[in-house]
Amino acid sequence: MSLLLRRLGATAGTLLAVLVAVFVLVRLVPGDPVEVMLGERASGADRAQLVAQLGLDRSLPAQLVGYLHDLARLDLGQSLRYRVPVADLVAARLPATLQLAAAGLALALVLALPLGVAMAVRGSAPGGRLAAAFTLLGLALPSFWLGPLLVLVFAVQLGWLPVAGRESAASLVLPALTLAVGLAAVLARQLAANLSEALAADHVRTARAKGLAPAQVLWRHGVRNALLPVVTVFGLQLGALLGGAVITETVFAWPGLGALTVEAISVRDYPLLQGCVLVIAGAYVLVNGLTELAYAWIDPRVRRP
Amino acid sequence: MSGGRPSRRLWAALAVLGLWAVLALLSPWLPLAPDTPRLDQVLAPPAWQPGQWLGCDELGRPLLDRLLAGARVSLLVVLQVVAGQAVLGIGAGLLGGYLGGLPDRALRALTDLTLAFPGLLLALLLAGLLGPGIDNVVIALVAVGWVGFARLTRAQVLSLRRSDHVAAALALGCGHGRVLGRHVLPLLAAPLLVEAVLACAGAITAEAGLSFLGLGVQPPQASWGGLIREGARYLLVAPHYLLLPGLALVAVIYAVSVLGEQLRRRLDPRWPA
Repeated sequence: MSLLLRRLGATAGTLLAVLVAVFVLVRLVPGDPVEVMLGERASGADRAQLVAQLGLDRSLPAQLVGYLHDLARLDLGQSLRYRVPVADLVAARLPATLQLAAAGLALALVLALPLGVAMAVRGSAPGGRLAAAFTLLGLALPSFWLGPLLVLVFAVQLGWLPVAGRESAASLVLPALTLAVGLAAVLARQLAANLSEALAADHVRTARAKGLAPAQVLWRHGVRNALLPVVTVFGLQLGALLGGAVITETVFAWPGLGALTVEAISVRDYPLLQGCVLVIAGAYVLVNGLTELAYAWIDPRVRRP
Repeated sequence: MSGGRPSRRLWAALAVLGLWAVLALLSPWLPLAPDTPRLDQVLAPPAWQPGQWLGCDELGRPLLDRLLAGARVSLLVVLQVVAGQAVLGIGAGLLGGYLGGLPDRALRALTDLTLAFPGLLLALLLAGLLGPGIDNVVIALVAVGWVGFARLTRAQVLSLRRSDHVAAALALGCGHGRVLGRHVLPLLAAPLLVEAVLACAGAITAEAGLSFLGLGVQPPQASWGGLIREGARYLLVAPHYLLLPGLALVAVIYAVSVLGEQLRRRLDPRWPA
C-alpha cells in the first residue's frame, strides 16, 4: 500500500513538473509571441485583445497560478485558429491517436516475439543472424520513409489498402505497421537479451535434464521469465511510440493528436500547441507511472525494500 | 567476437560512412547544380545521361546533386548536435557525479524532467517554438539529447570517484580539475565513444524527421528529410523521388548503428561475445 502511495506521489510530482516545464518553455520563446501569432500588421486592438486573452498582461507568477488553476478545471485555453476551446479539439482527436497507438503496440508485440525468440535460440545460426539483421534494419527505418514506402507498395501498386485517412478498419493497417516496426525491433532485442539469460539459468538445465520438451522449456521457463523486464521497456518505449505517432499521423493524414500538434506548429497556434503537448506528455507520465506499478505487482522482488 | 578481426559488416559500414563524409565534405567543390530548375526535366526518371543519373525533382533539379547537397547539411548538423550534446552532457555529468550534493540533485531533477517527455515531442515543441530553421533544430536536439551523455557520465563518475587511483591522485596533491581530466575522463572514453556513435544515429533520424515536418532546413536548400517529404507528394508519378533519398538515409543510419554495435562489443567487456 505504501508503495502504491509512493509511486502515485512520484507520478503526480513528475506530472506537475512537466506542466510547469511546458509553461516555462512556451514563455521563454525569444521575440514577441503576440506578434508571431498575429503577424506584424495586426491592429493595436487585436494585439490588446490577444494579450488579455493569453493573460500576458499579468506577472509571471500570476500567470502560472492562473495556468495551473485552468488546468485543474481541464481548461486548456482557446485555440487562436479555430476559436473554440483547445480541450474540445484535443478530445475530438484523442480516440484516433489511442486507437493507432494500441494497434501499433499490439502489432509490435506480435512481431517482436518470434524475432526475439529466433535471436536468442538460433543465435549465430542463419535464422538468428537474419532476425538480428532484421531488427537492426527496423531500428534504421525512419517512419517518415517507411510509411510512404508501404503506401507505394500496398496502396498504390497492389491496391489492397487505402492510401490515407481514417474511414475503415483497413485504413488502420498501414499506419499501425509503420508505427510498430521500430518498436518491434527494440522489444525483440530486449526480449532476446533477457531470453538468453533466462535460458542459461540452472532451473532450465534441470528442466531439460528431466526430459521436458524443448518447446515447453522455451515457453514456460524462458519466454515467461524473459517477458517480465520487457514490461519496463514497454513504458519507456511508449514515449517513442507517441513521438512516432506525430510523424506517422502526418504521413497518413490520420486525424489524431500528433497531426494536430504539427498543424498547431505550422499555423503558430501556441495555445493549441501547448494543449497538445500537455496531453501527450501527461499521458506518457501517467502510463510510465502505471507501468512501474504493474511491474511491482508482477515481480515481488521489486516490492522488497 | 570481441577483439577479433573487424568483420565484413564493420568494413561495409565504414565504407558507407566514409563515402557519405567524403562526398558531403567535398560537395561545395563538385560541379553540382542542386538549385537550378529545368522545366523540361520535371520529375524525370533516372536515365543514363549526365544530370539525370538519379532523375529529377518537381522543378527539374537533378536529384543526385540535391542528395549530395543534403548529405552535407545532415553531416554538419549531426556533428554539431552530437558535439553539443557531448560537451553539455559530459560536463554536467562530471560535475554532478564528482561534486555530489546540490549540483548532483539539480542535475538529476533536470535529466528526470527531460526524460519525462517523449523525446521527439520535446524536440518538436522546442523547434516549433523557436521557429523553422536549421540552427533551431540543432538547439532543440542538443537540449533533448544531452541527457544520455549526462546520465552515463554521472553513473561512471560516481563509481570512479571512490576508486583507489583517484584517492591516490588526491593524496599526491592533484587538483580536482586534474583528477577529473587525467584520472576520471580517460576511463570514460570507451563508453562515451559508443554513446556518441549511437547518438549520431539518433540525430540523423531526428534531423531528417524534423525537416520532413517542415521545421529543419528550409526550401530551396536541399535536405534528406525535405527530399523525402516532397518525394512522398509525388509518389504516384515519380516513385524514384521518394525511394532514392530514403535509401541513402537508411544506409547511413544502418551503417552508424552497425558501427555503434561493433564498437560496443569491442570496447565493453561486459557485453556478451
